[in-house]
Amino acid sequence: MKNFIKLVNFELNRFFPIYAALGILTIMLQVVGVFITSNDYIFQIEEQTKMGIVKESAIILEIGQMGMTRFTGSLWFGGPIALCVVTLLIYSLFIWYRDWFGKNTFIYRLLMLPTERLNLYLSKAVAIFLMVLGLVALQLVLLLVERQLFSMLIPAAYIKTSTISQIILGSEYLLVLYPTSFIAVLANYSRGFIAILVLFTLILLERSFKIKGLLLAGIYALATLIVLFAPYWIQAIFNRQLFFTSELFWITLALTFVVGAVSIWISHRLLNRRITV
Amino acid sequence: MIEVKQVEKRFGRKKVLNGMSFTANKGEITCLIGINGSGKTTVLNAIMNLTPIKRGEILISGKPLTKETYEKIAFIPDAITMMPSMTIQQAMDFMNDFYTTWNQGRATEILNFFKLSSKDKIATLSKGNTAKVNMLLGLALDVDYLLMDEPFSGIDIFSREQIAAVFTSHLVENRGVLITTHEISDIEHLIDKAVLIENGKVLTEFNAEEMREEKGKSVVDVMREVYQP
Amino acid sequence: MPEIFNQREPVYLQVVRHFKEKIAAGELRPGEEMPSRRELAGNLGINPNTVQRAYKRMEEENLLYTEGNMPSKITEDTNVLTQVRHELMLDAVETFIAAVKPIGVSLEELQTKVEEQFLLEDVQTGGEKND
Repeated sequence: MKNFIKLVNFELNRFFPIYAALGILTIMLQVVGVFITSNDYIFQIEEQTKMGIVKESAIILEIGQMGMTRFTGSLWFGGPIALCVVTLLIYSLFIWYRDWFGKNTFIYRLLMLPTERLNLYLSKAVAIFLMVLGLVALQLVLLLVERQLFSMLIPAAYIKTSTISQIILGSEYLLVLYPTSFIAVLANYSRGFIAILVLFTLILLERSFKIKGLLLAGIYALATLIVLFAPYWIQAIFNRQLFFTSELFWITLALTFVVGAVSIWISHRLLNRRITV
Repeated sequence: MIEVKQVEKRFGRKKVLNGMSFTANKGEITCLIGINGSGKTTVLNAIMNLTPIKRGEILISGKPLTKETYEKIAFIPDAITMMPSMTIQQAMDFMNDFYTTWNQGRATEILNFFKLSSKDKIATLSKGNTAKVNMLLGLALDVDYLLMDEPFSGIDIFSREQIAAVFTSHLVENRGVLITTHEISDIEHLIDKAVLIENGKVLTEFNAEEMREEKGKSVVDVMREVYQP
Repeated sequence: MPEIFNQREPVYLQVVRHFKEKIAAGELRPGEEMPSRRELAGNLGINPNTVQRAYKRMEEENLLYTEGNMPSKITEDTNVLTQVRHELMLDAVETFIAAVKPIGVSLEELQTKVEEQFLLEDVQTGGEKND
């Protein structure tokens, strides 16, 4: 356990420079976005005034109120999030391959540590997961800051005040990151974590069997999809509704955990018996 | 004792290990000699469970390798196994974090012996110094067995001499050392036992000093006979 | 110290002869302490096991003695010391004779030549030492 925590810490430190840069870039882009969005809006107000519309309510009727959803729907907001998602996805591959490639093959060291090799797999997965959580938390704080900034930059009359949960409900993407029910939070994040485990198992298959491994990885990915969507396939085959929506939710969640457990088991075997430097 | 018994391994169609068997004793320096591609590195990787084998058995002190064995046997591959962005100090701290057998006193001693500075980044080191740090990371573990893959290849003569000096010092005393080389002349008088291999098989293994005494042959003489019949 | 060993002769025997020569020449005096095995291995750049074997052989030949945990010392037994001198001399002479035999020189001729060269070398090395 101690070694596992050390490994997680080690993996976090390794990626920290890029991760920190990613966080700062997100903050910068979104804050710049807030200024540009409010400038645009104020420019629109001025345009209306020039055209002779003076009454606030009349202007609002023309251009609408300034609400956070205007911002969260923009590229200034979505762009940095997409960048973070893509970077972490790429790093989920790189977190393994960086240990094999280059002149300094760190994988030798990792595999020769006097600890369960499964810890390498789990620590890398937990590190990625924690980095996701970190960015998700950062985004939540940023939302508060951005809302505050808008209320400072735009005359109160034009602001459509909204609570954080209203902001989240106003965006499909934010709803995935911040689901409204506790069960949904657990479900979404365990799905995310298990997705990382499956991806890592695919990587280990490739690393263990090289070209043949790619084929095996393809088969495993396909098998995973078949299992995860089994209830839907079954319904499609029988061509009728067999499960209630809530049942579907629980069945797929259970299947997700089965896939996670199988991935851990396969990876454990691969790391102990099949992996090659 | 490290026992390699009838080990087989393939890379695709090629049999890289083709029933390889030999032993390496504690308190002795055993040298695996063979040209590139004869299976030297692969068998070291196999001993450390860094690559799977198809058939055969490898025992260390009579037992198959487990995670605890990594506290008893250290492997020094031909390239350094630390991240280039680390300083030597960080690399040593990493080792200290994970190995109970890490001996910092010895590490410091080796650092001084090799005239290395712990503040230096691994990426900035010369080839010779990188090889020395690589040695240090293995030698400072209080292990029974040390495996070294081509410790003399590709480095300057002075670094070679310094590394050779390690073999005559207390740093390897009472330990079992298994090293590979394709060029024996540097270390012929250093080794206890020679294992000559070709195409994944052991052609002959013998004690160098006994060979001189009984047959009046040097290791190179035997190599000539075995490899050029 | 000889850095390059003959790779065909057991290294431990070469170490033994190296010490015999030093003893015979008086470079190592009776009762003098020997370096530790590890130290010698380092100095000669050879395997410590080989040094161990050489020491064992020298002990068997009564060239060295060890009391308890003390470092080994050169024997003070004059008989052994004379014997070493004789042995080395005999070895050298045997090699010499084996080398000149094929040339077919007579003993008298050889004796004069040896005397001549021996004195000449003495003068030369003596001269160097006085520099």
